[in-house]
Amino acid sequence: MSWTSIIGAVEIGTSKVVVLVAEVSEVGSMNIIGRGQSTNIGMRKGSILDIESVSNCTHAAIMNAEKSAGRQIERVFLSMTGDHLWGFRNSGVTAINTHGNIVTEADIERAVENAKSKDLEPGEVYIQHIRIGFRLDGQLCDNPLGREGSQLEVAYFHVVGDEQILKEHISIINGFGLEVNDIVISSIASGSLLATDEEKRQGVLVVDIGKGTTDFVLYRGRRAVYTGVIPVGGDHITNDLALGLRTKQKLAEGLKKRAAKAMVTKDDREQLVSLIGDLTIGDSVFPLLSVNKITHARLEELFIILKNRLGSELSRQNLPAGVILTGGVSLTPLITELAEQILDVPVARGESPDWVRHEELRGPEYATVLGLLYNALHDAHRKPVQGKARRGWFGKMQEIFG
Amino acid sequence: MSKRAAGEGPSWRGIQQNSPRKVVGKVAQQRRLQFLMRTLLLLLVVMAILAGLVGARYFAKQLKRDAPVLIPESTVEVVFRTDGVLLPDWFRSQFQSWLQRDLRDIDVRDLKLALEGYGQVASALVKVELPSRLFVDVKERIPLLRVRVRGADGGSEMYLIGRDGTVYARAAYPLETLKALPGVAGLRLRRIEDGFIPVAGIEEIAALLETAKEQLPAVYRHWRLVDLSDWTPDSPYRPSLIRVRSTHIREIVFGTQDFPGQIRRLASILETIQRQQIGQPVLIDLSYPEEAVIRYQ
Repeated sequence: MSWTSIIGAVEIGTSKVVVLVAEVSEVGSMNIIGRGQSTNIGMRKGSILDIESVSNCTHAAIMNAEKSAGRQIERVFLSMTGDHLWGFRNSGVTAINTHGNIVTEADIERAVENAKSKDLEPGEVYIQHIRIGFRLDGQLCDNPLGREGSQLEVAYFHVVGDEQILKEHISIINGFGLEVNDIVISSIASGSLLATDEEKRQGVLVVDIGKGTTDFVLYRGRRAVYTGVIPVGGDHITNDLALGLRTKQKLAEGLKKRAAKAMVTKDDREQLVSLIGDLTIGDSVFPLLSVNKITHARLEELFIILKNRLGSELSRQNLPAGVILTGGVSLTPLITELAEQILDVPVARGESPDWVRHEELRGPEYATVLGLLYNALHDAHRKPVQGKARRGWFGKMQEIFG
Repeated sequence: MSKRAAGEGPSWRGIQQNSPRKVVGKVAQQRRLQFLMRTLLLLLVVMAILAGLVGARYFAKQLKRDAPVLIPESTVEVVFRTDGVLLPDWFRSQFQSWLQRDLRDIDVRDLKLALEGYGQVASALVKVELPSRLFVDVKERIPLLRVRVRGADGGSEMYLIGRDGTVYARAAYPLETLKALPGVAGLRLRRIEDGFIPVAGIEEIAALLETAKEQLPAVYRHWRLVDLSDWTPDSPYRPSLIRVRSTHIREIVFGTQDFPGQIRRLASILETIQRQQIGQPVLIDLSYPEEAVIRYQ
């Protein structure tokens, strides 16, 4: 009997919570059937300040999404960001002892187990283990099974997060009567959507500049080999504008969205920009040059941090496919030019693949949740849904009466 | 705390989901409330539908039972009298074929015997007044006890036991009347061709029940079952006992001598218990001549 599963992708971002609901079928097709969004006021720079407020915003977004879908979510895929996330590479090595030195599944399992066995600091947990590749007797290989060799090595990039913060996120989802099926870090979610297979094979860096944080993921040989989070985002530009222009945050945010550019141009010197935009009483004007200088300075700093973090990985040789920018800040005019100037690699804005037909969903703010669904599609296709994820008496009742 | 899989570092999957400390915000609470209300409404609708179905079935049954039996036109005018509950329609439906005949062809004796073949009819008087009038005067048995008997199809059927020990199938008694009768247990009924052999000596039980009904109606009203397992009227070796189970007292044991005296003693015991608020008796044994055994809860 064919099965379908209703999955929900939830991104609890600094400025808003976005939820998409999709129906995944056995044959591996996915229909996006619902969308919900709500403004998040309980977070700052990717960290939860007021859990109740975040919880209410998240639940409202899920409820709206379920309402628009007309179905109830069975499984939740949650994206994770924040400066508590960090990663490291670790390899597992094992000797091949079998007759004829042929690599067996047990050898691979042993090597993988060794790679994942590194102890963490108390209060830290692994979120994802991203396999970089195998080396058989020092030689790179995609699949060592059945090949001859004496030593097998497998390299992983491990993403680690703070257990307490993860617990908070999970408990928010649990509070709605749902269970978290998988956690995917935001950069990998958006990266898996925006970068093509060919770009991933050649080498590409996907940078998601959100409101509170900037997530990035580096792909090479079709695999994510490095990820990270920089605790700088659009909020910092807003803050700088508010401080520099001596105005309120809310007005500075509007000004940023309306007029700010990532680079200073010749015409900026003469141009003036109004704070509110309608020249009503209380509105004031500022030179566009000041706005753009502030924006430029912060974005320049962000790209320099990114460059320093990636070091030699960020070069034309290592990234033939260049850099893909996404996230709300990526819409800032001239940002690709600025990034190209600093990073010295080709930079482009991310575009959703053709299968995302709904025009509204093609915006950068949906890249992470769409990426979550993309990941979930592969996950669900691999592991057929056997039972429903709702737990507890309330969940069971909902299964019956919902 | 995160669990650790064998050989692997701690993973987020080790975090216990749905722990009691989950964050249930206002929105989730509202949603739960809405859902519970909806569920309640749904349950009420389902219950209403079920009640409707059950009610409809009950009324359909009632209608079927109360529906007048279609009896072909007869030229015989029947005058039916009874001292009990049987109705003229009952007579017409049971003796339909007789009434199709010419009145001159009806054998009055045969009709009387046929009528008396019904256990509920104790005696019948049949009279013909030519050209077309038939007088039927029936005296009915008064039911004393009701008894459930396994039927031919394996199900249970209700029969009544009259004062003379006749066991007969009920006809036309209102359900309330039947419910008010005590049931009987521990009685061995012997089948004959199309009925049961009358229960010998049942007059003794009738005397007890009638005395209780007359002297202590408030207590008798709650008698539910008369257990005749130890009732051995013919045995000279065993004491013959009548056990009565009532709603409030689990067992009242009577001997077979001096029922008025035993009922008086029962009344006196109950009055004392009530006045002194001693407790709830579960057993009152009145089978000893001068004393009674009382066991309290």
